[in-house]
Amino acid sequence: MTQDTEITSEVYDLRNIPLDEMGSEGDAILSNLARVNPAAARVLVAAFQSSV
Amino acid sequence: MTGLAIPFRQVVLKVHSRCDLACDHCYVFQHADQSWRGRPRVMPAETAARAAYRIAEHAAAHDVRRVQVVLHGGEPLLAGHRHLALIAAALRDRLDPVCELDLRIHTNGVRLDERFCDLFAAYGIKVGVSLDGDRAANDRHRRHADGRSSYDEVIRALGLLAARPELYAGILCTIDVANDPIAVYEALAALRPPRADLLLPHATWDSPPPRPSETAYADWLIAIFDRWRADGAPMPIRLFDSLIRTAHGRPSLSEAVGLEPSTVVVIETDGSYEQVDSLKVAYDGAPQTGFDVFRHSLDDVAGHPGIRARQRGAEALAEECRRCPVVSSCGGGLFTHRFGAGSFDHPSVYCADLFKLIHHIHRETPMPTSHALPRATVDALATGFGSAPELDRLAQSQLSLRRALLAAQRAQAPAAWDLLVSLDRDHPAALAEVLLHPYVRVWAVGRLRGEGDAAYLANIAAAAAIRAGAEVKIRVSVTAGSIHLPTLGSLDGVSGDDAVLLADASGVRVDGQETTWREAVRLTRGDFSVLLEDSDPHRDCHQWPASGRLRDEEIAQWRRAFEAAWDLIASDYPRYAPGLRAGLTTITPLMTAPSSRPVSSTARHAFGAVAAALPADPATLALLILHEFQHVKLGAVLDMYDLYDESDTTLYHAPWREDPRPLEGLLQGTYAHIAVSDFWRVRRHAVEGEARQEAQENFTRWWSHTAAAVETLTGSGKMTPLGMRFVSAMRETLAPWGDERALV
Repeated sequence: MTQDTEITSEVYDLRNIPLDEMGSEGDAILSNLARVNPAAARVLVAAFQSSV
Repeated sequence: MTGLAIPFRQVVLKVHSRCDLACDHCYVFQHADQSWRGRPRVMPAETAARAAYRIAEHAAAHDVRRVQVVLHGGEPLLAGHRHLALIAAALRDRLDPVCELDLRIHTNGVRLDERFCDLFAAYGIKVGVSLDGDRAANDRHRRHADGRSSYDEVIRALGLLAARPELYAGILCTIDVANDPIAVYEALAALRPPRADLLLPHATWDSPPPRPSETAYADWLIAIFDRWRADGAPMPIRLFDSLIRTAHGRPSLSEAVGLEPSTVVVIETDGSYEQVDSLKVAYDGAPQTGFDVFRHSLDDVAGHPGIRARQRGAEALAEECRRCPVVSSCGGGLFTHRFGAGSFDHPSVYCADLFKLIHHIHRETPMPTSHALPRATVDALATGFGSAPELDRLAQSQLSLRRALLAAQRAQAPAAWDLLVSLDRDHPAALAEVLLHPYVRVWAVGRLRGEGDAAYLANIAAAAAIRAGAEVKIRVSVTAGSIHLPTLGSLDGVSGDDAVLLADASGVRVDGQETTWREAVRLTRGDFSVLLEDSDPHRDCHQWPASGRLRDEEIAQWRRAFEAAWDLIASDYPRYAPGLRAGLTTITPLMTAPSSRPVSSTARHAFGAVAAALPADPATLALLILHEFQHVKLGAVLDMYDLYDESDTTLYHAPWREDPRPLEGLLQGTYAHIAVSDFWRVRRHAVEGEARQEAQENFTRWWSHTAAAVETLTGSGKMTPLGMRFVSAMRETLAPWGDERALV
């Protein structure tokens, strides 16, 4: 549990979630990634923006 | 198309239909269904062989990679050593070539002996044992027909398994609320099983469970849950773990709760297929399907309405359940427990208990498990420094990001994904090491833009497998004649866009091709070592073009420069060294600029990497490393936290540039120039003559620029509270250096 002296980030701790339980595929990639990990989604959006 | 939506992944094989105990709560013998009376006592070998054939046929047809087969009863050990060996051999012979067979046996333990254990070891069978808690709890139901206790025999069996942990699957405990929950828990915990499960006794609305109070089962389970949590969850308890997982949107581990489709089928001793075993408590004949292994495939069974009803998730639940706020955790409970008045269209007979228990668990296990940094860690990074623990924390959050990005690629390369999943399970450290390679994230982000080669997922998997010491045979991506294995090196001289890579104790190769393995180059000084990354196909993501593959003499130049640069950092800039040692994994050579001016860069997606053209002298390389690694650190912090208002489109004056910069650019530059100012602040005392004067001028200029930029950030009104705290710490680092501007 987060202590008062800690600052919780936007990055969900996915280290101990088995890979086969956190997948997303096809058209659902973006929405699932945003649900599982908002920070990764933000990085992703930045990647899209910089590619256009 | 067969119309099959969801293949079976678990088969309960009834190898014996009788039992040597007479437990009065047994769903096989003591409830509505009495079909056991008409079945063979032992599953004949030919029936087992046919069952094995059907399972293998089904797994192959539907590309099921892993099947669990549970040898069950009655009491399966009554089948005897030789017969069980025959059945296990039949299953292994048929299934091992087709899929991963997770073979288990569930026993009361009474007859377990060393000979059985040897047999289970030979056939890779894991053993689960029924035990209802302490002696008093266990003897309440689990007795021999003549009334004798089974407790001592079961404890002896568990002792055998404790001595052979590779065989030990866990303990299943059926709940009786008349037992003391803490005594039951303590008895189970004292046995230190690898896993325990707490099972609600099978009951229906027609035949409800004993219920001394309205939520007696919830109260009983909550008492254990609270104690289990207070003890630090010393053993996995499947019911609790499932409810915690479903509370956070993850799949259940048990058919007892959650909305996951059932993938279980039962094969009786006569070869008939049945639905889930617990249906025996509903009504006589409830589990029957009318199909058998001799005439029907598992695909036929999968079409049975009773099987399908347990695969439709929330859609199959009673209206009351579908509206319930905890339905995704509860899933209507076990299908059997919904039965009443001829229908399964009801909530569970344990509805009130499940509701109360789930609410309690949700309240006690708040959502997640986000990465968090102690305030002291954020403050330490904000000063511009940061030591090993701080950098380790940043790297761990990067690992989570990379796992999410990797998972987004799962459908693109199924064989690679399966290998990654198994490595994640068995060799997580090896996988993490590869995932943290800077350019793995660059590739993964590129894939989300539709760039790059999806097959590179296999290169990542192969690198992790080789790191784990596993043999590998997998089709991988080939770029410009090389197979790059991140963190390891490249196999050169490969033709085509892809190839089947083989790796074993004799090395890495592609059959039929003349190839050359080139180990990744490392720069090492003392106990600090980084990759000199001149081969990764995704490294060319920096502001300046990456160099090509380095020649031997260029590598030697890099080695000499790095050794001298690191010596300088360690001696003159010791506050940066621990962070670099923990977080700098890679130096990527860039093309030298035509003007020969120093060139360096970082890429936001490449945490851990600093890119640079080899500068003219080691001190400049030290400066470039210190400068660029600031961007590495801050980029990782910005992945975790909002330090500024991202919607702000204002451009700000950056004293070191002619063009105005967005807020992040200003923040990044300011943070990096703390290190630049510091470099020159120290450097002016280490050199003489013109060099000293130049260092002095550089220090005063960069200090002034950086200090001014800190004030611009502070006055922007667009920093978040955490961003203000961060910038304030930056100012605290810079402020005392202002008093050092005069060179003495």
